[in-house]
Parts: sequence; C-alpha cells; structure tokens
Amino acid sequence: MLNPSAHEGAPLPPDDSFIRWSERLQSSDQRAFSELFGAMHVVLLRYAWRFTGEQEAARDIVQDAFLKLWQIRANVDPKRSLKALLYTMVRNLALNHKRAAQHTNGVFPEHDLYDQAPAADQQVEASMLNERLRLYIEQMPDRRREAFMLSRYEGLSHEEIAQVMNLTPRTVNTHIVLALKDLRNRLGALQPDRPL
Amino acid sequence: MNDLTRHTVPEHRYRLPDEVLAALQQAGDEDPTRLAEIWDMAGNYYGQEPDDATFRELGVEIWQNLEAALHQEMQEQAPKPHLRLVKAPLRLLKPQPMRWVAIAACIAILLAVGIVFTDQGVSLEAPYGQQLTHELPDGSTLTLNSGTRISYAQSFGKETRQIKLIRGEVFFDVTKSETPFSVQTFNGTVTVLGTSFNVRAWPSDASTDVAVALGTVRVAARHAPEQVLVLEAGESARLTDQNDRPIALAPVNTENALSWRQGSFKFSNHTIGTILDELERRYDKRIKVSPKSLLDKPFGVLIENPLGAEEIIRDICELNACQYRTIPGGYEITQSAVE
Repeated sequence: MLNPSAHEGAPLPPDDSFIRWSERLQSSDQRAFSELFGAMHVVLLRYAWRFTGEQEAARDIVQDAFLKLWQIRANVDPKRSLKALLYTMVRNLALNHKRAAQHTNGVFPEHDLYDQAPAADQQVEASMLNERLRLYIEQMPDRRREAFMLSRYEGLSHEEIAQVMNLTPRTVNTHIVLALKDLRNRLGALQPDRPL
Repeated sequence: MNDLTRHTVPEHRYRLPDEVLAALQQAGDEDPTRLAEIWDMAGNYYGQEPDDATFRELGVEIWQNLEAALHQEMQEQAPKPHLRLVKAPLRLLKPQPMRWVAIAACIAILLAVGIVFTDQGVSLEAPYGQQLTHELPDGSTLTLNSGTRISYAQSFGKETRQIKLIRGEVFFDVTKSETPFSVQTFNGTVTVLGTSFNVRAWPSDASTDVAVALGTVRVAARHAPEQVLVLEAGESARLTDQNDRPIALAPVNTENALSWRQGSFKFSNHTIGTILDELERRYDKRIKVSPKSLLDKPFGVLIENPLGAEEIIRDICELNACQYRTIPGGYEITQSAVE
C-alpha cells in the first residue's frame, strides 16, 4: 500500500552545518547528535558497505562510529572537519572489520562487485569498459586509489580527504591527478577516445 | 542480499574537483578533457548497490541502539559512562508496545532521522513507526506523526511563517507573534497567530482535517481562499475537494484527532483503507489486503493505548469477517467468502 519515499542521493548539508554541530556536540547537545545522524547515516552506511559488501557489517560499523563520536564529543574540534572525522572513524572501523574477517575466515571477503545481473546486449560494450575501469582502479597503488575513490565516490573535498588519510591537500591532488592519468594511459592504449 | 533492493547509484553528482583541472592546466597537460571524461566514466565502479531506503532502515535500527545506550548513560549519570550496546532484533512480528510513547514521556531524545537541509530550506520526514518533534526558528514546535513530510524555507520567521505540509499529520504549538503562521496542505491553508492545533492532510485520504486545541484558527480551501471558516478551541473541520467551504465536524472528532500524540489510535467514521494506511505508518508494517473492496468499507477504531498493529487488525477482522496472518514485515488480510 504505502512505501516510505526514497530520496536517492539527497544533498549533504553545507560545511557550516557541521561546524555548528561540532560546537553543539561539545556541550553534549543530544539533538545536534540526532540531527547529524539523520544527515549522515545514509552516506556513511553506503561508505561502510562499499568496504565490506555486507549490510550487517555496515550497520555495526556506523553504529560504533556514532557511539564513539558521542563518547569523545567533548574533544571534538570545531576547527577540524566533523564530516572528515566521521569518515575517518568509519574507515578505520571498516578496515578493522576486514582484517578481523580475513583472520577468522582465512580468506579475504570478496567484494561482490562482479556479482551482478548480466548486462543486456546493447549494454555489453559499456559494461566491458566499466569492467576494465574497475580492474585498473583496483590495480592502482593503495594510497592513490583511496584518494581517488574518496574524491570520486564519496565526494569529499581535498581538505577532507587530507584529514581522513593524514596527508596534505596538495598530495591528495597529486594522487588524484596521477590516478586519472594512469587510467587515461591504460584505457587510451586499448580504446582510443572512445566515447561511452 | 536481495537483488530487488539494489540499484545503480548515480555517481555523476560528484564533479571533477577544480584543483585537479588547475593542476593539469598548470602542467600543460595535452588533453585535460579526456581526463574529465574518464572521471565521468569511472562513475559506474560500484555497479548495483542497496538503495537509500535500505540504508535508512538500517539507520532506524542503529538509532534505536544508540538511543538505548544514551538513555542508560543519562540514568546512571556517571561521569565516565561505559556504554553497552543492545543488539536489536531485526524485525519483531509479535506486537510490541510503541517504544516512542515511553521515550517521549521520560526523556527528550529527539529522533531526527530524515531531516534534510538544503540551500532552499529545511525538509523533515518522520520515519514509519516513529514520531518526530521539531522546533522552528521562532520557537514554535511541531510534532510529526509517522510517515509525515513537511518543509519550510531557510528564511522562516524573518518576514513570514509558512509551513508546507506535503503529506501527513502534524500537531502545531505556535508561539504568539504579529506575523501570521500558515500551513499549506495539498488542498487548503490554515492560518493562525498563536495557538495549538492539529492538521491531518494525507492526499490519499483526499481531505485535510483541522482540530484546534487552544486559540483561534482560520481554515480555507485552496481554490476558494476567501471562504474562511474560523475555528475556536475544541472545534474541528474538514476540507474536501467537493466543497468550497470547510465543513465543521462534531466536537468528539477534535478529541480523537488530538489523541495520537498520547499513543492513542482513534478514528471514527473512516474507511478500513484509511485505518490500515495509518497502521502501516504508525507501526512500520506492511499490510496486504484482498479483496481491495474491503478497503472502502466504513469503520471506526477507538483504542486508548493499543499494544500494536495486530490488536487493531484483529478487531477489524472480527467485525468484517476477514482473516489475517503475519507475513515478513507485516500482515496479510484476506476475506475468503462473502458473509
């Protein structure tokens, strides 16, 4: 009968909302906490899912991140990006989860990127290109790939990526430029200037 | 994982950062447009993913756990609390008392799942199974019933006080001011100066119901704004598309209309369809019905503190010769033979 409406890709709040939330969190404002949760939980769950490929793991990771945030609220620095702080916490928890899963299973859990419905005929060429891009992105050096992915798929600014990865924004830029050049070189050799 | 819940997330919303282009230009790159093209092409990296609704559902679960953890912290009043997480069961099929009643009564943790801030304004949505209380910049407070969606401009309170009730039911407690406070629904407008009142406007019900708790409220249909009905405390009225003027309702409707905030479920003179829609939102259950003709039957429910959706469904079935059973996430109501 009725379904809650979905708003895919709802815009993220502007940066100054995060500054206000940081300040209110410092004074233990639970309402600020709930507003921040409301604004960020979908993108963070998606980010965690992209690491683990499991909904339950993503749920635990985001839950732990927010709980941790509440515990350290008094020490949240409004001058540093609260958004980047959340991404950092989710990232570290997700990496821990992957390590733990690897340890107990003995096998690295495969991200089910390829576990998809077969493409329709007319989409085959486009999907081959996608496969190739995926492969090239996965073969990039770890740091370069992470900087590129945080920019491309999470939409973080250079400053935020710098905070998450503990780099300078300048290095972040270098990583992304190199990532794109790398993709151009590898794709160009195979499919020169082929439009999608 | 269920493939039906997956879809391709649009990744084009993240643009190539300016810093990257600047660096390329500075280095005299031979073909920066090709890099921008590759940036766009790389958007399909993740392919199919769970949709936002799936993640929002997980979010509700997380918030319940966080709330439990924070609640404990508040009661213990310990300076350095050790927070313990309660792992929530996925979905209980057994009816359970509505958590939010107890929570609203004893603590003021406000659930804000579904608040979206944009440059244009603020949009709020109360998730299924929950209520949402929100304070406006002028100090007025709103309580949104489950599934309700409203929005207002960033400039709210500066020169005007306008709320758009997109769908659903809201109780307003309006701070007195010279600036009129108005609520626009899909078919009408309610204007006040300072009072408390309830507006219920589900486009699926095809009517806007207004009930006044305190003060004076003016109601007018969207297509006949000059035909104003003035309601005093204890009065209520309904706007439908068939009438230019709002119709006054019996006083008992006012009491029923205001009772949802206390956890009551009171609907006299409604259809089974309206009541089941309300159950789905209030308890976050999915309800399947066949035959559909059952939905149009008039029905009334007056329950002070229902234990859950099942109690009400049982009443409906007892009095309408239908059967029900639990299905994942909800109930299925069937009517095997005509009485």
